[in-house]
Amino acid sequence: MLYSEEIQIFILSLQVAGVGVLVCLPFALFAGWILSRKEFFGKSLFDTFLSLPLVLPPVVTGYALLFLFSDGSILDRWFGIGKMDILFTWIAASLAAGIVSLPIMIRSIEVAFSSVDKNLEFVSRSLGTGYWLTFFKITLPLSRKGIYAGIILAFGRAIGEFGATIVVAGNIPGKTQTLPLAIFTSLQTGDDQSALRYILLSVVLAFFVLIVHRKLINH
Amino acid sequence: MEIIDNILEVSLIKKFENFELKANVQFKRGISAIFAPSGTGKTTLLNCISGKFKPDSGLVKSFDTVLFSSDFKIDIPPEKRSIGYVMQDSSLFPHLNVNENIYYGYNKLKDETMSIDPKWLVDLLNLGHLVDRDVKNLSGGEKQRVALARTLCSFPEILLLDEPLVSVDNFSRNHILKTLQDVNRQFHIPIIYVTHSFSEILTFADYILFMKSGKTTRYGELMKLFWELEDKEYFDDEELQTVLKVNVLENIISNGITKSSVNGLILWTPLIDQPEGSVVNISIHAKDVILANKPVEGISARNIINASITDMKSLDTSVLVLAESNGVSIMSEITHESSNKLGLNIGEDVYLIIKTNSIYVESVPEL
Repeated sequence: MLYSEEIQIFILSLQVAGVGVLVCLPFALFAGWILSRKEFFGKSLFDTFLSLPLVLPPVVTGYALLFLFSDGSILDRWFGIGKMDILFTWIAASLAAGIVSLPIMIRSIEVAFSSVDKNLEFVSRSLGTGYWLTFFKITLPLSRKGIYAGIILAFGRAIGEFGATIVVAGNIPGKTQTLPLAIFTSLQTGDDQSALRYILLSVVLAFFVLIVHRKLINH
Repeated sequence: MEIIDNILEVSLIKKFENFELKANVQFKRGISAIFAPSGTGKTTLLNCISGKFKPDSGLVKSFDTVLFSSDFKIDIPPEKRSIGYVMQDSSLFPHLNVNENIYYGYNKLKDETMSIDPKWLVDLLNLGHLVDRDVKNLSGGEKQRVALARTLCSFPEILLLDEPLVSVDNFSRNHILKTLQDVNRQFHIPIIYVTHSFSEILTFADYILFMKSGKTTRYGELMKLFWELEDKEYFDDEELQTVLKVNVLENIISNGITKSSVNGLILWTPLIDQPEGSVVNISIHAKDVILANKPVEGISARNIINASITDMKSLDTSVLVLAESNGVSIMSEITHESSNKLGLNIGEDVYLIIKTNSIYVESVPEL
């Protein structure tokens, strides 16, 4: 049996990961499109920069976000972000989860775009359809499955986000405590029973994500 | 409509790592065939015209519109060129069905009577039963017919075709050729057509462009250039043949033969399953035309034509003889030995002997 506290944590986790991934999606589409379609000076540097969160310890990514969102940072001076009090809210947790899983999403979308036959895009244009309309009528529908696969995989990674989240959002029960943080707390306080239930939930979720992902890329 | 004769001016250079295209040609209205061995840059030329490739330098001009000019830094994007391009592999959109593919670039003109009606094309290309199908389940010939319909619906000013009949069955082949001729006649859309098949060119084209190792060499009227050809390599693998448009005069069904005429010259052909008065393409292989230097009697062949030799051309292993009767030219290919024995010379009279069964009637698609 699940207690209401666990249901709340479960829903918060889905919310944090889902919103984080969706907020980062436009950027991932844009970056994937650039990497698959454009050649420019410094492209490999750009590519490397986007992949950083994949290899950096998430704590470092979290620290970078903390730095950007705190009072007096560049973002604060430009957009007044410090006054929005994003830090230590579920929104901060979302952003952390989204950014840590961004490289996975970008990579999948880049591959999806690259696998679209460029001849088809050219044919569409030579039939009188402009570049962007062709993107929406040909490129996007033909890479749809790969994009979904990227989203779901990134979602799976976002659910498990710990290091960056704890730095920018803390571990506030009922506010920013997601599944991994709840597991950590339960283990710390010796509540093995709850820990086990959270772990089980995580495993089920992971299975679900991987099965959906597999279905998408096999089609 | 015959106002501008030069419909497409191309003079460009496009370099690749180990290949260079140098094209210099002014295409004329009508149907032009590009005929050249593979790897000579035919497809590259079409890619440069359509805007798929950007030439390194030069000019591409369609009618009065400059599509590309390195001097004036003009490079019109493909969607604004109004050049229809059917590629070898048909490139249908896999996420759309046949009908959606056909209507993808449908260009409905303000004056509807001037537009190409997609329904007319669907009928003409015999695609009616396929419109709701998934494009993945089509045969090669069906795919090319859909690709052609799709391109024509966008009502291009010029139509480029890159070996559209390579993977196509005979039925589709005749449909496609017939449709192209109809479209060319009705809508005055000039066609530039890449092919490996000389017989296709003979039945189909008005002009021919020769290319060799990345360069355009000659362009002009098909029959003139063909006969002037020095290079036999162009038609090494091809059976040389004469193609004629004949009028069906009388079908003698009991004997399985048809009496037909070209310019008043009577030809007996195998039964042509078409009503009297219709016009049909026939072809005669040069190797099947026997020559005699005096009248022959008591011979089974039904076509004995008194003609005079207008030209002769020595090939590696044979002699090609062009003979004319009633303004109709027919090719005969004979051995050097026979040619010497008969003592054939340009200007002399000769008898062409052709068996009824040596005449091939191009199957006419049902419409």
